[in-house]
Amino acid sequence: MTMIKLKDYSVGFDTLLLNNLNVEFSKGINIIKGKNGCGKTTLIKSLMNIGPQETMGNVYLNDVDVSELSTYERNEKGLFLSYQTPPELPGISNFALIKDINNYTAQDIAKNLSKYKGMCKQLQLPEDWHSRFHNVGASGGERKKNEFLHFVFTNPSYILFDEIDSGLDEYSRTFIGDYLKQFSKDNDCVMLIVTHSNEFITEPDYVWEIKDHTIQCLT
Amino acid sequence: MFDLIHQNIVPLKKDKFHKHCNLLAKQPIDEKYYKHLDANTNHLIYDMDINNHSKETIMDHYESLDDRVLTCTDGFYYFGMTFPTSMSKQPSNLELFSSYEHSRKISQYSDIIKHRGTIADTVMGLVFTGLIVCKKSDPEHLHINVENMTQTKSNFNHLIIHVQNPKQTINIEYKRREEECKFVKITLLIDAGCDVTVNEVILGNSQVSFDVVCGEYARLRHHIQQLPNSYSHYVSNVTMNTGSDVQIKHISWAKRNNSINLFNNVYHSHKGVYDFISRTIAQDMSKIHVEGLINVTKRDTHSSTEWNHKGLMLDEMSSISGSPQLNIKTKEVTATHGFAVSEPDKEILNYLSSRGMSEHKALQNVCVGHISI
Repeated sequence: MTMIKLKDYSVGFDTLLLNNLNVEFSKGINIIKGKNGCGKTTLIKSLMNIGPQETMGNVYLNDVDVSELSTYERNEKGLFLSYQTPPELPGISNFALIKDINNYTAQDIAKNLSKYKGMCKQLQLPEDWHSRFHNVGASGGERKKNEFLHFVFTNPSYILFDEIDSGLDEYSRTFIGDYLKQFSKDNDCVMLIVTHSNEFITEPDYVWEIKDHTIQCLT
Repeated sequence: MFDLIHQNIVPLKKDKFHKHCNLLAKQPIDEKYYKHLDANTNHLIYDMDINNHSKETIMDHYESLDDRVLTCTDGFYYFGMTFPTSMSKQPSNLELFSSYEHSRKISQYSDIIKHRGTIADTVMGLVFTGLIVCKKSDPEHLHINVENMTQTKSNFNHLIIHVQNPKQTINIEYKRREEECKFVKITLLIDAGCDVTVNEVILGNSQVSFDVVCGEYARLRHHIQQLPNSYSHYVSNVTMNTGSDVQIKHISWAKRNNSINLFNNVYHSHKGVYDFISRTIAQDMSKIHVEGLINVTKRDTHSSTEWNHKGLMLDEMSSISGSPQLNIKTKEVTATHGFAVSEPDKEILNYLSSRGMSEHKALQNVCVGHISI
């Protein structure tokens, strides 16, 4: 069964944020909640091996220990992180980035560009979105849609969303929420979604709360 | 033929143009621009003193030569083969061949060139000059391949392009050369009101001086890409006239111990707009130096200047240095300048890695983004 497992896992900077976690995030949608600054973003960034924080303990994707792997190697194992504040990439267009990430052949490009444009239309993005520089001059909501598009076109198994719903308009929030629920049903995947909203994903499989340097399953 | 320049230059301010011509003739290259050469590289600096010889001295040397190959007009000395005055007489792609063998095919003066070349080599080196006049009836696109420079015995190759066409695009390509290169000087004269785009791709080693004289309300968009094998030096001198609008975008990428020097000098004008954007990348112990001097005199009121450089250093052993200088002598101007050097943004590298890009590919993307201007 697909799962992300943490064993004796601690995360911190100068002070400890999360202490000695022993958790298994199972297949389905796992919502992670908690007060500002409690360590939600730090936790999921550390799972991707990004950030200045230090970690101790082990991370397993299914039964494979990825603790010593780099960000790139973890991605190769199927781990995907959607950023809370994705950076601008001047000079690289939105679709060119997806093309690069997936190493599309000429045939793939034609097929996926049409799919990409279709998704952009559903997300109410401008028609020339595919050719615009990645996140340059984009609003917060548009950047989140870009993150969502990356997820759609990379099809990962272990998915980490950091406040994907913040900054989105009501229509897009509902669209993305429904898509994630359907994706979770149709695929064998673990989805960790950091959010402050109760409405974004109704009836998630699991709800977790980070509190007092640890994480607890509420449902 | 050479009088064409003076005859057709009416829309330009005559005094300013002549002043500039004299300056070019007397100082085709200012020694200070190349002061770094000795310090930073071991490459040979060619003797550029040719125009410091007095007119009499030169005439003494060449008194026996035909008038057609040696013309002196107001401080301008022309040598070597000449190009057709109109592009319409030539196929769309005109190539500047420096080797004698090739030049024979397109020049009626080939024998004289050869003869003179022999003499010149023994005295001070051949100066190779070409003139292209882009007339109103000529094609809008002009392609120039500066080729085989190393085969010529000339030390100094000078190409003059006079644009009379209201809209003109000029693509200049310097072929990749591994060995020592010769000095190339390009003088671009733009008539009043003309709109010119120059795309310059400099592959391999080079020493280039690009001098521009802009007519009133002329517009120049100049894009330069510089990718040397071991060294590349580029001097840009821009003389503007009332209302002229110049934008220069310069991209340089130095690898494997390369040395790149950019010098950028501007003589501004009343209501003139000058915009210089430079992006450089240094890696593998290479060195880049960028220098700019913007001269705004008392008469150059309501002018606008923007000088901006951003450098990306891919390793600690490389260096990028520079000094933007604004020499402003009037109050009614807008002028900004900026010089920044940074390492690749780690956040972006991490972001791209998290999307499945290897470190090398992520860095490649960051570099591409950096030079996209």
